Order: sequence, then structure tokens, then C-alpha cells
Amino acid sequence: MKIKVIILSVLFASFFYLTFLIKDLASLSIPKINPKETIYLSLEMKRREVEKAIDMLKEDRTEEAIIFLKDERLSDNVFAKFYLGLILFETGKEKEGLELIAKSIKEEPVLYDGYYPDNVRRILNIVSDKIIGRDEFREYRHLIESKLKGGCG
Amino acid sequence: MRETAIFIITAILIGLLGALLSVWGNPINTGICISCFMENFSGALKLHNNLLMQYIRPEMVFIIIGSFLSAVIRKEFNTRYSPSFTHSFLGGVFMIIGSAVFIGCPIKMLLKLAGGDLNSIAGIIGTIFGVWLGVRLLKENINTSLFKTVAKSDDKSFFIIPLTFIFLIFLYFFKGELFAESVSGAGAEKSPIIYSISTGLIIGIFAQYSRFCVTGSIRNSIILRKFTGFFALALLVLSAVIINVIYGRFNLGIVGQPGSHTEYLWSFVSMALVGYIAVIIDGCPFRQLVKMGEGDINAFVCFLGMLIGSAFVQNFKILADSSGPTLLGKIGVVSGILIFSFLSYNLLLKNEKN
Repeated sequence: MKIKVIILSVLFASFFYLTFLIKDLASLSIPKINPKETIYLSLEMKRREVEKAIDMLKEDRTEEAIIFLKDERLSDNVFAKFYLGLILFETGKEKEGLELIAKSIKEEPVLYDGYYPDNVRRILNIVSDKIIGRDEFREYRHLIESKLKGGCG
Repeated sequence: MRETAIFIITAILIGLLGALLSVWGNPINTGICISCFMENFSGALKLHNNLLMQYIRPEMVFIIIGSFLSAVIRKEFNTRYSPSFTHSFLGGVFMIIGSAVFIGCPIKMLLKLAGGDLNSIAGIIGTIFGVWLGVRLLKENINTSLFKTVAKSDDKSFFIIPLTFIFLIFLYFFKGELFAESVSGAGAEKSPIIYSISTGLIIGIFAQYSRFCVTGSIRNSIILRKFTGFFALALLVLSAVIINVIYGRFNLGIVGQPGSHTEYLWSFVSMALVGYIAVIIDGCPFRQLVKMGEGDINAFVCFLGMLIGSAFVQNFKILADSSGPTLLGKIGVVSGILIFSFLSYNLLLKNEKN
């Protein structure tokens, strides 16, 4: 038998078998990592850790909230960083506060993502509005507004 | 005359459709950005772990398919290669790194300007400088066998690559769970699929016909002193500006521009690297996709480099964000300059020997 015939036979056989296998693919269950679970749940856990401090802020118990958020156990918590920055910004330590806010949004982009239900976009908008026209905070305003507008990067 | 007209029409189409894709749902100022698309694409193939940058980006796949169909219909599909595979592969890797540090490929650079982002001017100057430097190298009459293209018009084996992309997109529609897909971040911002497909196809077909390339346009303007290329790029920007103005998306300024930083030196240097590499390997990231659809094996090798590069960029954060480039981003760009200086010097030495 000619090699050409063999190769052609293999080609057609594999083509039809592939089609057959692909048909089976439809019923194959693929364990899918749900990015929502991965991202949102871990973030939600972090947010719950600082929920007390958020309540304190709402009740104007700023000093207590600062002590709470400065707890070493929350040093890796991006929400703690963000809210501590916000308090510092609101209480006159603007540069220090903005630095922490910038760090937190650079570290965790989901924090300001419109798809994330507990995002901090509204607060960021307020902060950004407050530093309009302040030349010394231009880079922070650029960072916050740029991140809020989205896009890649 | 006809070719010039098609070239200009392609530029206008890229401007119009690029801006419209953003209106329809793609990230702002990122209607078409091959480096961003590659990062999304490698994420969808699970090559990197950034859950915010994973999407198959049908626009990109259909640019390749459109170019392939056009090349076949116009009988221009031609399996061809030159032995400069090292340049092609490393070029792909470092074009992506350069683009990631600027935040955008040469097409996005123009779309950013069309959105009113004046920060992109540093990147534009950098690209022109890089292309000029590349042209200086070309003018040394590098006549090594390395860049001599071997064309095999009777060899259709490369058909398998564009067909693989058709198969891939079929799998995406048939069994999308195979691929990763973002639910948050830039990867989740997408146009309706039918718009993405038709835009990709149209642009792929026109780009194959016209051989449109951003860095190629600049290169030809420098070499031939004919400014059709610059004129076409200006029309690309203008047409995107019109769309942005109509949809209230034109926002002229520096502060607060989306996906943009104010580290101008790094914008300049990173895009100079992209421009220089694009001259050496004959085409910006967009042109490499189109050439791949036409049967260019080097472009395919470059694509593989871009794929690996985009996975590196995301896994190791060799990139920039609105606050500027990361340390690894800076290291990546300087490494690219070092490697391509070495390769260029090597070319010049070979030239002297010849």
C-alpha cells in the first residue's frame, strides 16, 4: 500500500474521531474556578474584619477607629489601610492619608472596581474632589481619577 | 494611488472602530490594544494568574482570521520565513514589556491621544525616536542572510496556524468553560461579541490588504520622505477624536487620564524600545498578527514571544499602572535595551565581516 494512502486514511480517521470527541466535550463537566468567589470572598473576609471600625467612623468615634485599624493583626488588610488613610486624610494628615489610600488601591484593584458590590468608588470620588487644585497632591489625584476611569493598567 | 487610498481607509477604520469598541464596552481608550489583548488572551489560556486580565478577546483572534481569509482570497497567502527567529521571539517578548510599561501598544498610544490623553505624547516621541534609530541601523545595509526572506508559495503547511485560531474560537463558543474569563477589572470590560467579531474581521481584512502598520508608517515616512504614513496616522487619531467627542469621551488633559502615568522618561524609553524592535522585526504588534494570518512564520514566532511576554508581564508585574512603572517594569525595559543593543551590535559586526 502506498504511504500516501496510509497517511490520508489516518488523516480522515483522526478528523472524524476528533469530531466525535468534540461532540462529547459538550457533556464534559469542567471544574471551574469562579473568579468571583476567589476575589470577592477573600476581600469580603477582609472587609468584615474592619466592619467595627467602619461603624465607629459612622458614629464619629474617630480615635477609637484609628486604634482599631492600627492593630498589627490588620497590617495586611487592604481595607484597614484604606480606611486608616481616609481618617488621616480627614483629620488633617492629608499627605500621610493619601499615601495610604494610594497604597491600598494599587495593592488591590478590586477595591475600586465597579463590579465589586462593596467598592470604595464613592469615597475615592469625594477624596479626589477635595484635592482638586492642590498642586502638591496632583500625583494622588491623577492616580485616583485614572484608576476610577478604568482601562488597562 | 489605489494602495494609498486603501491604506488611509484602513487607518480611518482603525480609528473609528477602535474608539467605538470602547463605547460598546471595551476598556476606555483600549478599543484596540494588541498588548492588552495579548495579556487578556494569555490569561484566558491560564498562562498567568491575574484574575482581572483574562478574556479570549475575539477582536484579536478575528484580526488574524480576517487577515488569513483576505490573504487566501487575494492569493497572497504565502508561507515565508527568514532565519532571524531569535530576533522575532525576543522582539515579541520585549515589545509586550515595552508596551506594558507605557500602558499600551502603538495603536492604543494613538487612541489614548484621541481620548485627550496628553501623557501619550511622550510615548509618541519615543516611538518616532525608536523607529528613527532602527532606520539608522537598516541604512547600514545589513546584508546578512539572517533577514533574507525565503518564500515558499507552493507550501501551504502554514495553513494549520490560522486554522488553529479558527478551531480555538470554535472551542470558545462551544465550550467557553475551558477558558478563564474575568468577572472584574479590565478583562471583564468587553463589547458585545458580535461587534468584537465583525470589527476584528473588518480590520484584519483591510490591514492585510493595505499592510497597515503604525511603526511601518513612521519608518516609511523617515526613509522615503513621503508623509502618507504620518498623514494616515493623523487621520486615525482624528477619526477616533470625532467618535470620542460625539460620545462625550474626549477629555483633554494630563491629570486623571485612564490607564496612563506621568513618568514621561519611562514612556519615552519603553516606546522607543517598541519602535526600534518593530523596525528590526518588520512590524508593530498589530502588524505581526496580520502577517501571521498571511503565512509569515517569523510573525508566528513573534506571536509566541508576545504570548510568553504577556504571561511574564502579568505574573511578575513587569508593567506600569497610573502611578508609574514598577521596579521590575523598569528592569524589563532596560533588559530589552541591553539585549537588542547586543543583537544590533552583532548584526553590525556580521555586516563588517561580509
